[in-house]
Amino acid sequence: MPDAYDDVVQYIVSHQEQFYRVAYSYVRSREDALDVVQSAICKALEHQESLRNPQAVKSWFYRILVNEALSMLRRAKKETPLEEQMMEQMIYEEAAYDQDQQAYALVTRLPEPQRTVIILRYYEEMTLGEIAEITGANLNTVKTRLYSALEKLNKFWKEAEQ
Amino acid sequence: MKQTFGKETYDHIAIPAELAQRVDEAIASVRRENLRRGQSRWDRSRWKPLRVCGAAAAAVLLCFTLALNTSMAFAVEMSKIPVIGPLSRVLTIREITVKENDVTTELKIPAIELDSGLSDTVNARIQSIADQWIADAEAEFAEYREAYLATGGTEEEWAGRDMTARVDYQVCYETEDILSLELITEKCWVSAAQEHHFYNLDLKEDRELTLADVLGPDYTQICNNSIVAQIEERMAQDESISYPGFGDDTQYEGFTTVTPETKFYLNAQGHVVVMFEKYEIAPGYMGPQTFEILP
Repeated sequence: MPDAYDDVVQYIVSHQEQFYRVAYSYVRSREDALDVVQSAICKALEHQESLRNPQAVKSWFYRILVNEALSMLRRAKKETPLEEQMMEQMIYEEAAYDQDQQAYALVTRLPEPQRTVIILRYYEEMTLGEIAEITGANLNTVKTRLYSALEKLNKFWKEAEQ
Repeated sequence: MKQTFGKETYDHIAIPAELAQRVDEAIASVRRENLRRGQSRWDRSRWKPLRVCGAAAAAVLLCFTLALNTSMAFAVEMSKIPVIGPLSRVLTIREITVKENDVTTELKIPAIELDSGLSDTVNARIQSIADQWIADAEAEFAEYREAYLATGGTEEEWAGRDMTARVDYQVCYETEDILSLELITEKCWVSAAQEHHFYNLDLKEDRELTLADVLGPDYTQICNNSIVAQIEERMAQDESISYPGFGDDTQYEGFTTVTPETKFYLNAQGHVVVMFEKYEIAPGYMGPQTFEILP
């Protein structure tokens, strides 16, 4: 039986690239994303005893990672979700982007907590149950957030068609 | 417009070359911090008494203490006899470095040559331990690689990795009649842990020596008194050191007594050194614990 601490270290090492992509999708800067990953790992290992159930290492670590990314945004006051107007503008200005890149840009600019739900649901392919665990919200709340995020994306798709 | 969520863009976010280094730094900095603070708050929760072996074991130290004498309690006696000329010789019989796929194997295998020729069993044992170690290391690396690729890592990203399996040795002590050899085996990849095996052999009788053979029938009392005194001394000297079961630290049971199974070897002075693995009697950050039992 490997040590629980070593298990966590191994989990972190083998999933580091996923963590970086998640972090990057919040802070949208290479340096900040590296900082987020690094400090999330430090916090996780320093408080490894808070992981009661070793099976839950994934949701436990993502929770720390997402919180770290959000607090980095708060500290840097970088959280500037675009107004509807600006979104439309972005679609036209960034016409050189393909649609997938535009959609990604839009997702990273969604207000919280909608952004987190989309990142975890569609990028990290988690279940709504896992997202509920990570965000500390109940399942119905997660569903509501998901639908409101999808509504925004729907609007984007429709506008892009025109 | 196609209902895209940007997943393709997301999956193609470039991974900076220094990510792995930053991750390793984070892990190492927590390790250092815990060592520096030497406090067991976080460590205690993962402290498991008597956890001796582990799949992640990264280093095994093997110590063969070979005695060519038939008498009991010989070790202490023999250490006092001036060396006339060694009867035993340690030779490197195999020294190779192989880099295959992602794994570097470095082998330096010793063999013991004796006039009596009795070392064949020991040599065979060294050989089988080394072979087993390399086979285990390769299997673990392969498993890790598979897990890495299964969790989204790519072949290109994997290519930069270097993992090493190593077998080496050193002669600790050699007199006319006693040879103490340490076989060091290491696996270097993600995390490090240690495991120690000691074989104290009486070659003439072709059997393993026990603590009772070396220290006499009262060995339990002799060892326990010495170990308890040393634990108390260590705790008095450094407040960051804490042994469960001693001082205020009564939440877990720590050292209670040596048993016939307690690991030991003979050091350069011919003294018994009792060894407890990491986690066995102390929190993990303190590592394996050794106690020299003075005659």
